[in-house]
Amino acid sequence: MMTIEEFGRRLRAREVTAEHVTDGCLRRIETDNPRLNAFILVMADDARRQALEADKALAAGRDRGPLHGVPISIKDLLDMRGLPTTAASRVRDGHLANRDAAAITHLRQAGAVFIGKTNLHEFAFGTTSEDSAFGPARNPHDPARSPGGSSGGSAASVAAGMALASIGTDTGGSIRIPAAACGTVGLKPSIGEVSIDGVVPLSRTLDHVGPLTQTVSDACLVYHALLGDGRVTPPAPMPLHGVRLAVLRRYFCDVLEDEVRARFESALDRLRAGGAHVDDIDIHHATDIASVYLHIVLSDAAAYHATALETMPERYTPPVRLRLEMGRYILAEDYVRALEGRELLRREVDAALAQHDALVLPTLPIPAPPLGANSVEVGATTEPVRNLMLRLTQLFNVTGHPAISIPSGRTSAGMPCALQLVGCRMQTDALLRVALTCEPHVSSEVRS
Amino acid sequence: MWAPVWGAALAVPGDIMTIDAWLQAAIADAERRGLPELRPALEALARATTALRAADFNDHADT
Repeated sequence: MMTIEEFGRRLRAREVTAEHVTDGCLRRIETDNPRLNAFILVMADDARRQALEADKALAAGRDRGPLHGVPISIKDLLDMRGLPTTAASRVRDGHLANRDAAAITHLRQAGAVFIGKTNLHEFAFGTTSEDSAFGPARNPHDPARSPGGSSGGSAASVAAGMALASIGTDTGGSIRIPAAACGTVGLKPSIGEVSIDGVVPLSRTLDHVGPLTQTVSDACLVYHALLGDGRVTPPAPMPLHGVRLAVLRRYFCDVLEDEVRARFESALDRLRAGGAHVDDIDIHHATDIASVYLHIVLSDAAAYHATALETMPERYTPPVRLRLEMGRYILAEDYVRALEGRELLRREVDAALAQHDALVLPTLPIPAPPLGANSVEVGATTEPVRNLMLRLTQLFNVTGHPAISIPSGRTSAGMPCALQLVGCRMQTDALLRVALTCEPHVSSEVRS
Repeated sequence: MWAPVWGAALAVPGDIMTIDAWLQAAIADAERRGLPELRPALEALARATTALRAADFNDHADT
């Protein structure tokens, strides 16, 4: 499957056309989407027209940069002018966006071809993409399993070759979790870098927009396009020798499925062997992360949904409705306590990064769970799926640090595992450079 | 517009809004609103709130 970088080289060498590659993605959608349910809307005619225009523009000498003519899918949580933004919910029936989200505006300017809008967990409030008004999205590596969520359709679309990249959102891990579950790269930039204007919110204080791609280089290209800086080329990797990594052990590595743990330790061994300096480090208040996150996300989500919960509760899927209702019972004093905890956790992650280039931990403690599973056995314990899926990612939404998920091998059943790197706030480019450096040492072919 | 979720149920048993009192009031309110299935979720939230209040980063006026 072609990366954006390879597509760009071959497009400019006149070896491929945007029309040809877009047609290939559309054929893959036709073949695989009935099985994977990754797309809510396929924009076949419009995508072909955009691709043709991209080819004509290039032939006329108008090159918009690295995303010129690249077929990209969009999570159906971002407004696209003239189209419904369903958020995978019947609550949004009849909606039509009258303008583009800021991220979409930037991608249009960068010359991207929009191939369709992808399925997600309803209102992005879940980690499995199974509670959707359009039915569950499925994992390309095993359709009986979840593709992760909430950007599950986005990850499935990239992993299955239905798009060269996708745009997702991440409030507690919703880019990184599906990226890990489907074997793609997923980048949550630093908080506030990529505009969330025109994105249906889950929590305006935790929401991020970012790319899902096949490689770190491609993530870098799409990230810069999302910033409105569509002509940047990826930085050169730095030498691995001397890169300082800190492994988050206590709490973060306490509950890991055996094969996930083995792939993680094996990736660390390869990084050490390549010359990286790898320390262990603790986040002192790690055991408070889940309660801090829960009180913030539930309160923020309940405020946005309060009216719809009263006027059309039957239009929500029952699990998402119940989750939203929980937030309406949180006391203001507890929300304030959570905000205090957020500041403390931010300072602790800053301190952990003070002497390191990046923090490192797995992205998911388990491989993609079976659809319909409420809990999963990990070692001697049985844990709720939602708690496990969020356990290793939600901290960096609370603190705002940039984080990227990179494939790190497969389980014996063929399901992807992933490693997460975390960088300093407002230094996403520096994190991407570390990720480019580490990627060849930790990644193996996991795409279907 | 929506009605306050808590309604009259905000009157909790006892004088102080302890987590137990909050939970009982919340469950009663959910049942009044026809949402008895919210009970396990509220019990989980009560456990999270207990942990949040016990965290050592909380400031207290009397300490």
